[in-house]
Amino acid sequence: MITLASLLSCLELGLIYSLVVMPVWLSSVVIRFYDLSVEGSFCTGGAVTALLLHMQLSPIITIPASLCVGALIGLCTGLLHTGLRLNDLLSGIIVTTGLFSINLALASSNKSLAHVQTIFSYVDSVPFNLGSLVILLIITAGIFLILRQLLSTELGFIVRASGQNPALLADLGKHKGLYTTITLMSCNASVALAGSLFVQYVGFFSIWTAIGTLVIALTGLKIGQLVDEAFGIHIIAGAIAYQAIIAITLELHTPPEWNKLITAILMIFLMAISRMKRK
Amino acid sequence: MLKLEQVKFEIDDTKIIKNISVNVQNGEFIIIIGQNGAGKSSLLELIAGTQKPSSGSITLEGQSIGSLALAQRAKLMSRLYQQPARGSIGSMTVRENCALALYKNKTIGLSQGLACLETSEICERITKLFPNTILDARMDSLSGGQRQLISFIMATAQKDMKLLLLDEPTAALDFNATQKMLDNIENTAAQNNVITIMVTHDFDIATSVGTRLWVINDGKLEHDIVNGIHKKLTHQELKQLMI
Repeated sequence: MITLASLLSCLELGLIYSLVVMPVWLSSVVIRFYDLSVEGSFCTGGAVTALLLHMQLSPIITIPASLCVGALIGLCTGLLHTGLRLNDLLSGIIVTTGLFSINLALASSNKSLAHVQTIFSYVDSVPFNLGSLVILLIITAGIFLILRQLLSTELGFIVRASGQNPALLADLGKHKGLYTTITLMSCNASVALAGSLFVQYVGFFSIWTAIGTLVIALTGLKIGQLVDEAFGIHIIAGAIAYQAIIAITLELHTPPEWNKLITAILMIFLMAISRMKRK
Repeated sequence: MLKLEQVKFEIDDTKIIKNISVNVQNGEFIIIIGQNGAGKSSLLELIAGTQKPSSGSITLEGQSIGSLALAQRAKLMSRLYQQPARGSIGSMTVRENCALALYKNKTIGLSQGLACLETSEICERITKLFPNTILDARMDSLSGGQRQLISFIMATAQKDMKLLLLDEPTAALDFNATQKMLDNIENTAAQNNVITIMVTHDFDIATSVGTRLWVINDGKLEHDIVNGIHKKLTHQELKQLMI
């Protein structure tokens, strides 16, 4: 039986993961860069947050801190790709591998946030536990609007061009690498923010939390793209729909260890639909 | 002025361009012909600065093209390619593509992407050739001819360029689109005092436009016909020059 609490939970988790799905759309669809460092930045956003909250700092600090750390991770991936000319997958794998050790050093393998104040502690008293939803709605809407606005600026036009026709970009006298790096910085900033919100939401940091983040995001993205390939609210809806599918499988008493297989099968199914649609 | 001095270009000991020296004055419109593999496109790449000569030098307005930064090079020259898709962004509208073309000598910021169109005549140039509604159409929804013509307008949006490089720009176009494109190329070449260099395989085109003809054969500049005399050549005579 699906309860109101589980519906609320998948809506909230969907909003958190939409902060990963939107940047994954930007990197994989717009600049055509399959950025595996997303897994690392999600975890690092969480690790930095766990560390800061255990230092008794204000939970508000975790938002700019995770954004900055994410941007730094994007910068590293971008520099490996543009400076050393490593391909996108290798740049992401190297960064994520390095981040694993950094995350362990920052927050160890597990860190409970049960007894520290989180960003959601401010809204504990809101009736029907809707406080978390309000916070997540505000943050997600903010990132969505910023991204939509950015895409209609000169910078956005150049970023959109960089993925589709790098030769044209060179003819315009613009360096593709610069715009790839700027995009990766923005993407990873949003993903690290998602990681930060995730650990505060579940009240626990685990070094293993981020495993499969990219696939979760890509699956949410594919669901959203069934509606439209362009950027829009359907991308957020896709992230929420993915969480709803996982929630339904749990309600059907499927053991959680099968979640990854369910995600993989769902992904294959969505890819097949998307291919059929193109035909 | 464009100046090539003893330009040689080799790839893995294969001599692609063999010692070409030539001067081109502003306003000249050069047609390059030659058989497949003769080195026409390589010569164009060298002039564009996307390939560096193995030896010799290529200067434009006294500046060595190979040593120019990407932005400086873009300021001096524009290019149009054989494939209509190469000169624009398919998923963006014509209007958005026009805005992109105007970013050439501009520092990119967070202003509205289309704002620069207000002070430009690029959209007017397009609506002189096509209905107004085309501006809001996605580039990939247009025919090859429409797309290539708009790409040409985009490439020539910048008024102070010195060099226009055209690599078989009509190869993928039908007869009407080819005529429209050639008219536009000739008008632009005549009005803006730029050096125009066009590679073509089409003898009709080679003998109908331009002020000068270069015949490239086995990496060498075999014939340099000036003052538009090439327009008097028959196809047979042109074929003879290429052997």
